[in-house]
Amino acid sequence: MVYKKYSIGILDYNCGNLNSLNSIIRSLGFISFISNNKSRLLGADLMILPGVGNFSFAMQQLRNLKITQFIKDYSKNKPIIGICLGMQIFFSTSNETKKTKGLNLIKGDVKNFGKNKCKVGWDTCENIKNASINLISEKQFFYFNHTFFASTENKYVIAYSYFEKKKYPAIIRKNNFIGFQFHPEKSQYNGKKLLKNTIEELLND
Amino acid sequence: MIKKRLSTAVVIRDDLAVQSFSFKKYLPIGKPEVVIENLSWWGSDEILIFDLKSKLSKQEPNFSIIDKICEKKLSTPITYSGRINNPKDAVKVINSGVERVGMGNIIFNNSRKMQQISDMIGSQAVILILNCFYIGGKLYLRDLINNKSIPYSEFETKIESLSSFYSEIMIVDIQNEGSCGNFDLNILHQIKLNKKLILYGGMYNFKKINKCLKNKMISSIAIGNQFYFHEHAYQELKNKLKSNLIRPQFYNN
Repeated sequence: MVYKKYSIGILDYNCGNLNSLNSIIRSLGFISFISNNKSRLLGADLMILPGVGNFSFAMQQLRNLKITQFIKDYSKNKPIIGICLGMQIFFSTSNETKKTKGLNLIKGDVKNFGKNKCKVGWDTCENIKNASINLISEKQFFYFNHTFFASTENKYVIAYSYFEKKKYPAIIRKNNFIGFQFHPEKSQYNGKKLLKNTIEELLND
Repeated sequence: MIKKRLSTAVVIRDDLAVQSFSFKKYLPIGKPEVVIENLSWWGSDEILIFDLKSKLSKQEPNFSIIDKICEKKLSTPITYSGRINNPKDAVKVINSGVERVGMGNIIFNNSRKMQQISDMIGSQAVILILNCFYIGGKLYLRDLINNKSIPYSEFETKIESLSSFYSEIMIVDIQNEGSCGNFDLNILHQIKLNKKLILYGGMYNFKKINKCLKNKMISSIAIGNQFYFHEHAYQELKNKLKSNLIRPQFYNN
């Protein structure tokens, strides 16, 4: 039997913990590379958009790289994983710093928790009943670090989390896109397991 | 419910992880990337790196050390502080694989830079570090660049006015840093800001940690020296605390 090693492209748009994500993906047994070269990324079986940054700055970086249309086209044919900000930019708009249009691949807005409110730390998620897939166990802790969250239709949400009694989407799925509001790559054993399962789920779908 | 963090602190000086005593006296421990790798294996909730300026250090973050750390396949959140003076450096540090940056002296010298950095990497990725000491019933901040102490009251308004540009405040008790549980809780009585706090500097005392964890404004307790010399010291501390406010200890990372 020939075992195919999947290739994962990590998009470098100046907004992510690129090197640590790359190391983690490789440790999971995949081939991975960091790039913003369209033809190179097109050769990958799956693309990951990492995310540590500001929404307006991120969209500006994508426009500077002339890569927004590429992401939209890629998502029609191949799977994408978005992490934190890398998930938020898939939505219609955000008011982080100023009102900014996102990629609008998923209808919804990115909003803040409230003035000066930030969720930092380890928390669990709640699976949606009858969701297309359940990726996590509700006892598992994941690392969250965000001041903004995506507000969208229930049909795209596969797991929720809470912050100061506010229920908000923690995992999103639309077709072959899966987005995490938390950082699986920084969530130790549970996060690595989740990333591996998600990549395999998307590539075998 | 979000758990409070038991964070581990690593002080780096001249490319070596060191045991620090009030940031005045240092004993070498070893390669920072090895120390940090161990803490990550033990399931530390977060690793806070203080890369101190010395005669040998450049005027920019220590990218060679950051790269060595981030190549280690670590899946633990990392915060780096050390000579991040402009947005370009901050973005480069994040891209290297760090999740958050800590900034202290910038508030005395060029606080506008903090806004510029936050506009690029997001306020969630910025921690304000206050190097404090409490003496004679008064709280002081230490400006480490200009080597002077300023009453906290003179900076309170400025710290508050910048609050949209950082996510948490790290309170460092510089006098008691490296001690076994002498963190001066009087510091907390003086700080009345609506921001979550990380406490560092002499926190290794079970009663003190448990008391602080119950304070709703405290999101993290950071401990350094005490974790370097015993296998599984981190998990043992979590086990002894028996607190459901923090994530349970983990042995198989």
